[in-house]
Amino acid sequence: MTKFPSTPVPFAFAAILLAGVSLGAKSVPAAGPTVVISEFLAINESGATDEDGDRSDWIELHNASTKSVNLAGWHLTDDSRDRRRWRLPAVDLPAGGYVVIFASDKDRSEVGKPLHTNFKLQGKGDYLALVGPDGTAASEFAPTYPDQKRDVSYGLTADGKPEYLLVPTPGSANATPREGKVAKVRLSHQRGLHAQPFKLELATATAGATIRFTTDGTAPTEGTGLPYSRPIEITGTTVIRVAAFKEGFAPSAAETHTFLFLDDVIHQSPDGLPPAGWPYLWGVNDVDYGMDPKVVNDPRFKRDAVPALKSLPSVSIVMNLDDLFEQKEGIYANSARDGRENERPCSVEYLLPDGGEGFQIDCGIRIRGGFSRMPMNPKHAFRLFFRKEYGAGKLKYPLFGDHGAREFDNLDLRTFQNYSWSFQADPRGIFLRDQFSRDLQLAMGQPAARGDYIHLYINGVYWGLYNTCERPEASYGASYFGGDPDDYDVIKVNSGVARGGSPGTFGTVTTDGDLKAWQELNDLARLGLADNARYQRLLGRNPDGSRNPELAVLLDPENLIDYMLVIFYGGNLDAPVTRFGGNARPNNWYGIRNRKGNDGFRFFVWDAEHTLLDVEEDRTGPFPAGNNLETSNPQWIWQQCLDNAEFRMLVADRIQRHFYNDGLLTAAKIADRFQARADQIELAVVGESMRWGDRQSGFSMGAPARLGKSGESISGPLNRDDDWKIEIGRVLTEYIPKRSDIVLAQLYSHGLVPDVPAPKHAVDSGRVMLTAALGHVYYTTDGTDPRQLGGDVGKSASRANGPIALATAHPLKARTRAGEDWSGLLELDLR
Amino acid sequence: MTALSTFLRQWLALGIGVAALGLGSFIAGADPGELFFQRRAATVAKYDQNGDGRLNAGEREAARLGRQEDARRGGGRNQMFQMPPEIVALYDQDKDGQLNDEEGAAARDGIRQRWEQANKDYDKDGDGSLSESERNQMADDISAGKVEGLPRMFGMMARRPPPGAGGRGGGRFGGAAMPRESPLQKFDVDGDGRLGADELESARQAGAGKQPSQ
Repeated sequence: MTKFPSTPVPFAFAAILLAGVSLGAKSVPAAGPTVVISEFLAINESGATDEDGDRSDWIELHNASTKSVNLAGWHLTDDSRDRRRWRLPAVDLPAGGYVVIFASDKDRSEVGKPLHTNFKLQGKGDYLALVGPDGTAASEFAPTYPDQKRDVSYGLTADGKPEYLLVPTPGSANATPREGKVAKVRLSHQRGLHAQPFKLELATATAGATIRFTTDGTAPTEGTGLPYSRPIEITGTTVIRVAAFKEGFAPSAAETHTFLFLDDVIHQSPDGLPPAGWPYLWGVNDVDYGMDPKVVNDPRFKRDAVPALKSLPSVSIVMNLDDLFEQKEGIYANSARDGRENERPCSVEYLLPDGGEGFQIDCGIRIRGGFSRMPMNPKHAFRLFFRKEYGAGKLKYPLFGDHGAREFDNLDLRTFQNYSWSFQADPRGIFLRDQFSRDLQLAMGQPAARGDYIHLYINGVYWGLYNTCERPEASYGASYFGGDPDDYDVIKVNSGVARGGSPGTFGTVTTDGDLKAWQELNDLARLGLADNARYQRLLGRNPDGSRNPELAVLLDPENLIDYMLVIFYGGNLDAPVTRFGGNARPNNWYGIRNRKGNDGFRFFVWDAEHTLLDVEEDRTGPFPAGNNLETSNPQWIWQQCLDNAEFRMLVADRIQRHFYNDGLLTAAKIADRFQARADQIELAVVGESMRWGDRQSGFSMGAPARLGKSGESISGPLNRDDDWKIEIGRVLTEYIPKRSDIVLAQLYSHGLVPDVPAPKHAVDSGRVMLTAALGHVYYTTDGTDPRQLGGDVGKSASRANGPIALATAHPLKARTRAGEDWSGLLELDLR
Repeated sequence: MTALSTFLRQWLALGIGVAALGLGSFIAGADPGELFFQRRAATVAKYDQNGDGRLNAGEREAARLGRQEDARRGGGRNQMFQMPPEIVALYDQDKDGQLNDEEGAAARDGIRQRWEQANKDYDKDGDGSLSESERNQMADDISAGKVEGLPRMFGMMARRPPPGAGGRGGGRFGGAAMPRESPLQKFDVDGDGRLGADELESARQAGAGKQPSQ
């Protein structure tokens, strides 16, 4: 089983680090110094990581003597003038033993834990020495070691001479220097969708090299896989991994190619038996294989079966099946497990149906999710981690188009849990609920976790419809807001680790940064925000609303309001306060803030599965969750902010923007957006139906009876026409037409919708006319608000008494004032 | 004429007024529909103190505070799961027979603390986790109502999860691993956990798979 990434020579790093030392054969003459620097790596881009997951440089020390040496009083230094640069702790280094020290600049020297110097190694060559207790160099590279190469270590060979070492061996004897690296394997056919059989030819430019290949998902090694001797007949869906080997050379990088033949994919495991070579048990997890002939051969879907699989990009995961399904250690077989220790290496390919340029990348994979981890769910979600130890440190591909990030540290492959076919056998499965909420947040001009739809394959076996999703964490912040990932605080709700079978507990945690600013925001909110000075303080402003650079900006109020409007519109039962916890607990939200920036916390819709259900649903609260850090959440901040008149005015403005004048939350706009997503996957859901529609023993949570268009009871696999279209139709004809008015009325009942209508406008012949049914219209064209803080007419505002010339009317901001009341803000860009 | 109809008339007058301007291209999108005004009427009826058919700032503020008070008193309406009677009795401060939001929150906090305490109390050997016997004792006592502050139904949660109900080594839905069994195991001649082509064919010949319907 693969437990470590495919470094040239895997080694049990954890054991070395925690024990501090390891035993091994001598690599330097016994007559040499007692302890020497036996090897170091100065440019570590794809080698092993330290305990923080960082690719730190490292230095290996070797006790070449026949007696144990205590390293108390010894030093490592990169400065010939400072021989006591970093002091080693009192580690006992046995005779013939090795100790690996990270040259990371992290300065850690606790015995029994990974050691880190207070300096890093320079790739261009530098001084390096191990200095004994007497102050003399026991081992040194002077005046400097030579320029170093990426992922190539430098150390002592058996004859005691320093050499480049193509295969780093931290913690063990140095390998014989190799003569080079075998050239990569070239394939005659590339990954993708294929319809005709072909002969696959493999070649490498390195004379005398042996090419080996596998088709079971494992990466070939010198001792595994089949030797390539003649073209390979590819007659059906195949995953192939190839590498070339030659004595004295480092092996070529493994290549992975998936060849999908959709005509055979739709007939995979029609009787539900495992594909040949696949496990019949998935540990404690429910097992489910096969494309259901009842769907594949249904006259309604037969012609759509293959086009369904071509209607979206495909993602092919190729990996050692033991890493997924082995009873004790497989991550799918033990789906409740999380964390780095439950991450496994894999290859991921992104295959475009039109043959366009996708990508292949080696990365780490884990199971993702909360509730969906339950073992009675046979279709789990995944999270991919792009780390240097697997290959490229980042995925560089515009997955979400020109407006999305072009580089990713990680990526979620979501599946559908609540109201799903695969888990709950629920006919309300439309696979759009979460994505639609995220789409809506993005369309409102707010940051959101972008996503799209794909078909997923594991080692060539179709796994169903999935939904890609960005993770709104530190790297997301750096990608979209700028700065360094280390500058970001990312707050989320966590389900605690069960103890003794206890239920999961919810709490506020960070994925990045710390809780200080979030705590400060909550502390201020807890004091009450009716006082305007305190509310302005949240925004980093003086009491008069002007920016105070001495104050941290803790909240982006417009973002918070838009976020809450998405929650209200969807009738979200499970975020940011969960009805399933009696509205006393938070769930499913992210907050991001750059500690060095001028933006406050911004919030992200997450796992919005429980949405678009009851058209009468009212999630406007107020709810009890939030009055302490453990249950803190954006809705509680919203509730506290509502005590402030300026915030309420801003709420009215955002309502005006989104619920009026063809705003994003008007029924027609919502319907268009929802219909577009439905159109995108209408064909693809036939694939989900073939794979998972026959799931009968799902974990049902009150799934309604399946009724056809005429109200008759339906049996058989869940499918597009009998189920998906029915629920899509319900959302389009029953939910969306009414929902905007219902939510607006809910907000009105909270006193948040002014009864002074915003101005109406009309444009003609280079003029714009602003009119109001009540009161008077005030407008500005300099970007300021016609209403100033506190409620008076703004200093640069004019009262509309007639047509306004368009040439001067931008940006146009206008409000109606009736008595002391103001309407929401009308913002027009008439250029 | 009612106050509401007065307000609606004002809205209509606004449209007529704009049209009367004689401006060619009218930029105005969809606004709230009739359903909003129907729903709005209930709020207006409750808070329109001066009877002008609309809520001014002060009346809207009264509406906002009214919703807060409604929520405080009727929090249970938003709770999907009702607390069992023994818990209601413990936390029903105003003795109205149900838990409002504040009481409900206190109940949940109390249950969680009590649960965590029980995990410690029943960890007789102090090894930081509950053995099967410790867990069963805890489950029996909770189910019997002997652990004050915990609903009896938590006894079921305390008992070892059934096979397949959790992963090894804890986790959100944790519990000890109980690997499944499979009727396909008998076809796994080499015992590698997988069915090779020959083994698969044997299984198929024996009718182990689902029967395709078509």
